[in-house]
Amino acid sequence: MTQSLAISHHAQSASQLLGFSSCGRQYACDLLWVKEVLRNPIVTPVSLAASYVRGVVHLRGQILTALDLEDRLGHPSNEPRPSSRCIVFKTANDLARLPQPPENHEMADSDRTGLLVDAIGDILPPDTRVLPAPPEALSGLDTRFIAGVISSGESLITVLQIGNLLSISEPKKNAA
Amino acid sequence: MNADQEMLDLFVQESSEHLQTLETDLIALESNPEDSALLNSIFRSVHSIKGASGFFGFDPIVKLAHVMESVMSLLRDGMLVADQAMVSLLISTSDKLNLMLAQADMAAEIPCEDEIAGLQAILNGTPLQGQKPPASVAAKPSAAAAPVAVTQDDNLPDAGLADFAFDPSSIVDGLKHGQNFYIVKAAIAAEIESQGQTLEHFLSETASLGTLVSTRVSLPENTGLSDCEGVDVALSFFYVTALEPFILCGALGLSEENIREIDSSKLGEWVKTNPPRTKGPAAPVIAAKSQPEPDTKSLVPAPSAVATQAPRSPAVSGPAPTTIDPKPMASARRKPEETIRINVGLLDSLMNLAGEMVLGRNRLLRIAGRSETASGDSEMQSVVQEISSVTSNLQDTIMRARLQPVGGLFGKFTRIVRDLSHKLEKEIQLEIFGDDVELDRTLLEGLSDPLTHLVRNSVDHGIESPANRIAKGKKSCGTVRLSAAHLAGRVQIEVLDDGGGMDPERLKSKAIEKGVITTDQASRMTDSDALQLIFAAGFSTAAAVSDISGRGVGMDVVKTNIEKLGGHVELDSRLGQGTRIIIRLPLTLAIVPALIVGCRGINYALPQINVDEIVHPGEEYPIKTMGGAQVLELRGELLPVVDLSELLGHPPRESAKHETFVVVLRLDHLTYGLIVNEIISNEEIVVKPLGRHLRTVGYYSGATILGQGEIAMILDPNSMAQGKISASQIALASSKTTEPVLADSTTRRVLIFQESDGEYLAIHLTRVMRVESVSAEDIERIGPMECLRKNHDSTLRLVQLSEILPIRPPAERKKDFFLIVPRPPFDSIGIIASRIVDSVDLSDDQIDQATLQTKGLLGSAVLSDRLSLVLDLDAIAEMLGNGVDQPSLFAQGHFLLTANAQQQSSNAPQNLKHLPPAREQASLTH
Repeated sequence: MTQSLAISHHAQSASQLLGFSSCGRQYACDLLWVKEVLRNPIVTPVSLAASYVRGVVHLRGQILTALDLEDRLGHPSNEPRPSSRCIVFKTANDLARLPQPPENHEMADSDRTGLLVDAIGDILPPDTRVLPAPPEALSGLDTRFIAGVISSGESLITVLQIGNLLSISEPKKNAA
Repeated sequence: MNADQEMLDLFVQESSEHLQTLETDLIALESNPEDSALLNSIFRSVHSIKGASGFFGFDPIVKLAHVMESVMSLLRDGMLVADQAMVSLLISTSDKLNLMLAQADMAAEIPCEDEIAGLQAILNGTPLQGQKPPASVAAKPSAAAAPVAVTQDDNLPDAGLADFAFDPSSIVDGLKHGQNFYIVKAAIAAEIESQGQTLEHFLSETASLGTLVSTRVSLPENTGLSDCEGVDVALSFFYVTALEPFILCGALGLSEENIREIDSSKLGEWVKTNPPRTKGPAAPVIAAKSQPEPDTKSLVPAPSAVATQAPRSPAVSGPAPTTIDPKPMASARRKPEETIRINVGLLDSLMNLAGEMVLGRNRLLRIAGRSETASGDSEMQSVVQEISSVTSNLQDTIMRARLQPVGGLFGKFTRIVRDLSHKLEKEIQLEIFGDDVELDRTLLEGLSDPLTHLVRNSVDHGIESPANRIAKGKKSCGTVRLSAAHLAGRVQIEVLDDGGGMDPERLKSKAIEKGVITTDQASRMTDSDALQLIFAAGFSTAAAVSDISGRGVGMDVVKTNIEKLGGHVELDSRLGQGTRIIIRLPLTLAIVPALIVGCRGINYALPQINVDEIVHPGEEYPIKTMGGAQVLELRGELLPVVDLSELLGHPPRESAKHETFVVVLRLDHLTYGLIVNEIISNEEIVVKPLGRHLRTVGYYSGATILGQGEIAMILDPNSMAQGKISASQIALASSKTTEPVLADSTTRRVLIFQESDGEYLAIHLTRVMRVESVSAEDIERIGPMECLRKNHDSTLRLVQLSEILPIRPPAERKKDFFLIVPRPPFDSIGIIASRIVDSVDLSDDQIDQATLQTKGLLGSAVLSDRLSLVLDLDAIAEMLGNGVDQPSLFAQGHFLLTANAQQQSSNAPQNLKHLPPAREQASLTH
């Protein structure tokens, strides 16, 4: 990935964003959160876990909890979705070492957590204009997990609030 | 701020280490009050604490340490001899220091007036006399009391000193403590940096070894500032230290030419003639430390504190106080170079990486195996082999890095035993062996409480009072021995005392009183079984113990705690002779033996410690439904049964009857069965924590990575029982469980097997851990021994009974056979069996001990209509000798068997047939 992470004083997107897609929708998240991306992860399902927990992945001797992005955002689906990429996020320890930790970094887990997505897209420059998220009634998305929206040509890119996404809170009842 | 905190942490840690040595030394001092090495070591410890506390500005600590140091310096110089009261005072001072260090910020609030007053009284009441300089100096009245410009003094004892600017007062202290004085010269580039040291490090090292009185940096002559670059700068300093010249050289990494010793007596003389110029008359400065120099005393009237002191006796001023034993000093200095502090987290991630490498290696081995058959590339093979062995070594080494010597733990018992024996007015000697044996640090922490318990019991209840001992014809001084040793890949820790031992009869009557056993059971109980009673829950309470001449406060807790660590306790006691308790522990906690089971194609791990046995439900052990709950009828007991797939929320399967097994899990107060689809293998697993999203799912205690990189969740038998076993099921089970575990000690179940086509052999199931099916290809030969390699660090030694017992040898060994693996401590052997016949109940009375009297056999019995030989496992282990442990005490408790499923004599018990070959291999190679 990139080495230089320019820090701008822009309030909404202080650092670079990593774009990715899932179920045909475009998303982005703060690149500072991202540790690495796994290709074709083998997910072992875990019974009785919350619906948004797809299972566990063996990552170099460690156990990674793999979350289902769509389910987490309130789009549960009954049929299994093959996800070809897993974005691995930094742990609380990793983030503490950063000189300029990302927003909500205190919500990181001490163990590895990842997000299953379909494809990894471009890295968006730090000065990308991020608009505030539309109200929940319009988007149908759980706004706790959304930091804002980027308008890119025809489509909209949803910028995710990774700290909240990784925290333990249950999705709202009316979210779906 | 952060760096300060780090320094502070380091200071507290180092000081605690000093205190630890201090305490050990002080206790040793009690019996050897004049051991100069000990005295020196104590002095150094106190001095280091004082110095470091001063650096951080912890004045209360400095104050206390200073008085203690002063007393120690008197003791060291032979002015005083420590008696018991003094040692006790010193120990309590060291306790106070310990307290203060634990809360360094609040040290001032810890009351230590008693200690200070006590120590001060020792100081005041002692003929405090000048230790330095020699008496001859006193003859020369120091006429030249006038202040002299120090560095221009022609009378300097050493010409080299002319280079330094220093104040005489700065060396008075060193003189008083009989330290050595040196001028050290070294070229920075050629002699310091070339040794791989930075100047900074060199200086800090130097400062930690002594005091830099004065330093000087000189450029070679005729070098100007313009051309000084590239020219070596010489560093020289005037240095005070306790070290002898050759040790100093070693410590600083310099050669002896760099160091010149200055005669300290001359220096002393010189100081007399040049009293410190800054402080006016010399005496008050020195007297304030209540250690007056003899000569200044003659010049100036001594202050009152000094005046009260007795006049000097010539006898004590004699010995030169420069007798620092070089040996302990040298070893104390060597330590920091050999060890460094490492963050445990770092070690853990190293462990993880090594584990990962092993998995990668395994994959590589498989690929290499394939490519060889294709191309016959032997070069590739050798590289893979090399990587393979390096990887194993790497993993071993990192594992070892987590180990710590038990000495640290054992060390604290000297104090406990000393205090306790004083309090109880007993004479007890604590012997410690094997304190260099290493254990995982988590295990050490977990071991601390149980071991304290055992040692206290030995002191409190084991060892008799001196009068009592003499009456019994023993030495008045009792012995408690604490030892540690490596045995068969485990660590064995033993607590042994030569006290009164335990009376089986009294234990029995106590147990009957407590309702643990019935009178009838008691009458049938052997003595060694009776001793095990103290481990029974509910048997021992404080009240029950005080009137039993043994021990027993919470022995069940000790047992549970040790078992939690994956260990196991045994006890042996002879009335009137003493008691021996043996604890066996695995080397590390990170690796846990587990049973891997399958449920709907997904693997799960069950901790082996909870697994009692595996049953194939069928005609003999039917699963019945009672009021909606399932129960298993197992040898007259009804066990509640939980279906794992139901528990995990899988929809019930339509296909009527599927192959199932019931794993019988034993918890503290409940035994229940878990229905699973498959028994995969026995593996040693590394427990990994789960992320927070999964921690909320109660049934998992962690996850692990199996041989081929696949993940298995670790099931927690406790929480599975909590949610799913209804109260009615438990009630049902307990109502039918008429006999407690200890109930029937004479009738035990035996496993009948054949080594070949010949004799029927029987082994008590309580001694069997598991039965494995193996194929001849997996067997490796090491010299005359046959071994089965299980993991990279554990092997099973195969035992062919026909080689040691008078039975017919097999004509030819079958390709596939069984191994009967006994419970620990004999779990390093596997008894070869070609056929498992049956398992039946056998009463001890049924064993005919007269007809066949051979070592290794308990006797013969008629079982399943055939004469069977009953094996004596302890004797067999003894006959095997090397590599197998000494006979153990009978451990009644859990037992695990894999092969009792079928009544009919099937050649292989059904559940073992299902071991998939691929998986089995995985467990062998990992």
